[in-house]
Amino acid sequence: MVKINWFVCLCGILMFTLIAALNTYINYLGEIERVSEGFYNNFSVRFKSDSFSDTEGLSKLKDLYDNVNMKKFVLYDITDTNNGLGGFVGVLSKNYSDFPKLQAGRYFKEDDFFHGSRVAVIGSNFINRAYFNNNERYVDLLGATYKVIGIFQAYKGASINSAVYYNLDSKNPGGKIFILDARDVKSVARQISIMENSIKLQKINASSNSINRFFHYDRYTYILLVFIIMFILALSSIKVYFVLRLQKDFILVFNLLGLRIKEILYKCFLNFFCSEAISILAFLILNTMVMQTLSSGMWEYYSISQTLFYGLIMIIFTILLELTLVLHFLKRDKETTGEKINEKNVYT
Amino acid sequence: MKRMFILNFCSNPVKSVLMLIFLMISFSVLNTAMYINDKYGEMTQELRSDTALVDVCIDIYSGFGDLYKDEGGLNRLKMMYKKLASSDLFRYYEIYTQFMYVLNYDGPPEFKYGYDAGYDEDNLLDTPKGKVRASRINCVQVSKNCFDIYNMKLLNGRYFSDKDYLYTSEKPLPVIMGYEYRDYYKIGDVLKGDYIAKKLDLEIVGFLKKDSHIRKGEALLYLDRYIVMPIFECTEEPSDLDERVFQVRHYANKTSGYLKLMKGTVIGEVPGIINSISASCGLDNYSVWHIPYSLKVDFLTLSNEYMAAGLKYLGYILMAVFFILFIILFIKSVRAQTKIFAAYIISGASLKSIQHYLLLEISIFILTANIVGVLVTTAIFRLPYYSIYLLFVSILLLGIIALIIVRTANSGSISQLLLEENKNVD
Repeated sequence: MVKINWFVCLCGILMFTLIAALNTYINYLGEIERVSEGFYNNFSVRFKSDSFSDTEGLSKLKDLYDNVNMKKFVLYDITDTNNGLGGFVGVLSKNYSDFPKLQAGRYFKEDDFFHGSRVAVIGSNFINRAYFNNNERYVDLLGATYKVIGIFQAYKGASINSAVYYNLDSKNPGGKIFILDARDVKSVARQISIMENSIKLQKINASSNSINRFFHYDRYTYILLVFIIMFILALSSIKVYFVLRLQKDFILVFNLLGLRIKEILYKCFLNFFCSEAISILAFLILNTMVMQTLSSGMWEYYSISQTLFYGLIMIIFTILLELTLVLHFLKRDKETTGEKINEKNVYT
Repeated sequence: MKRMFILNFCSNPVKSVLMLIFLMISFSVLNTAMYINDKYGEMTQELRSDTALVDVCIDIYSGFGDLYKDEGGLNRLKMMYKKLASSDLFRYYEIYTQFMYVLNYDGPPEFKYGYDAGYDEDNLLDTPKGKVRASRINCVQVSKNCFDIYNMKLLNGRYFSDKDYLYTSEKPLPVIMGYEYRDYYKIGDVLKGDYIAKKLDLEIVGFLKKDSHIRKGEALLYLDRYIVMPIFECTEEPSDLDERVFQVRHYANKTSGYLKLMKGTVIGEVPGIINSISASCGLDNYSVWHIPYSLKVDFLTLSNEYMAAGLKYLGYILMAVFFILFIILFIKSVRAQTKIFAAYIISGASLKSIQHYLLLEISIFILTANIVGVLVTTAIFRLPYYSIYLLFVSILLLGIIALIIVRTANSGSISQLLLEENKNVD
């Protein structure tokens, strides 16, 4: 018969709650760091190039777009911005969707580039400068009229909300300060070295004005992370210790009765698995009831999938720990039983 | 009782050590989280406080070409400066970001003015030795009182002295370099500079710590890539027109700073006050504008408030986890020791001494965890810190444990537990 260990259940729920809080905190931190930096990844490369600012600039851009060696990429022209934050940002993107959160509409798709269209995604601070014509929103930028396809709001009070993204090919010649970004550091580095062979560019090691630089979130969060991981590991160890303390006698009895290791492990872990399953279920119910309703502020960055992923890793760690200890008990028990038999043989 | 404690600790060392480790980690996490939370609070205060000097900014209203020609123009500007610096209505802070030409500069391009925006070309300047290559380098001119209120700590070297703020052409001007200069220059090096068309020798007297910054109007200005120079007073009368033009431009910079209002001065009155000062000096109106919070700074403070709140919630969750678990562990531990307690009672120990021993055991655990928590935080941040939350948690925990002891470790419950165990054995 399955016997639920309520202590294991409680530990499980607490562990999931802790992981959820920590995960939300770290996600939020990453988000505001990017917002404060203009939403570029920290591995993006800023460079200066005059290659796109001559009359051949557009064809060079088209060439780059067609032959880019990355599945997902974005090239920002930040020449007309306030150091990459507010202002007019030219965008040339392919399968890239990692932009600030949309309030309405959409971001760019491949059809928006090199088809003679003028489209823009405007920051929420820019809405007042847009106007309606035939139920479509338009905005005047850089001496031309652009159709507004989306409105974004990164975060309340952020400078980036004063930015406007427009399709880069709509402006010829282009600017001279660019940022190349993608989903991973290797792709960016590879693409930059390819571009260095075809166009003249100079990398810019721009100084950061990010929120992290002022508050040193990375340093503090790292310290906290190490501690909380230690805390969760200690929690798992305590859980295993108490479960084993309860099961120790049963394990020895089963062993004495001659049950196979497989059967002993099945009997030991059945209760444990059921208790863990209940804790996951209870957390999911808690998630639906509480976490999902907390959708403001920091809780916007709560992710159930990530929480479950890290939670399951912790459960696997706990199971492995318990498995190792059970096997250790069985081995030690066999040795002591063997010694006792030997002693008996010596006496007889 | 001491023997009883040691015996019990040794009878189940794994449990005792686990409980102690758990308690120590909990208290360390809590103390660290609260330290960081406090630190974030301090930083928010730095952004929000009125010493952040964003309240009023003055700048010369119209061009000052007339002042070059007018022989008394320079004196009027100097008078304006003195009145600003000695006003009882506000405290005046001089902060100006005028780039500096450095002759034959051979350092990295990152320090050049306009580098981030891609404009870092060098120029050719006329010198007595002919045309010399000169690079525009980021430079900030500050008054001495700025060091009191901004995060400008020295990595090495010395701060500016009062004498450094009195310029004479006989000695080089001392400068403090930003953190990133430390690999390229050393204290005592002398650079040849050109500051608003005046040739100066710049002697390096110190380097700033990483991420040193000042607040300049709308944003935080990090000084890692800046040369910090004293916004000096000219002690010598101009000998020619060039010198006079330099001094006029320099004093125009000196009279474009930031104010912190003293108690009783109302923000709405400031334009009138400044304009009456400028009128009394025979100068045109100055522009005065109020910058309550810039978007950037507002975003920083707002985000940080969320962050601090997040840490607090994390702390509360930890506390709840820790409380519930510890109490469960303790109850389980007391139940597991029922037989031992019974044996102690049979051997002549009193129930009170057992209860005292249990409380002593937990007190020692809590005390150790408190000490470890403080030591860990001190080791990490090199600053002793003890959160009041730790004390609060400790007292509350002791109170709850005492209640549990009274409820579970009494003669009635011990005999009840023994009976239950016997039933289970049968």
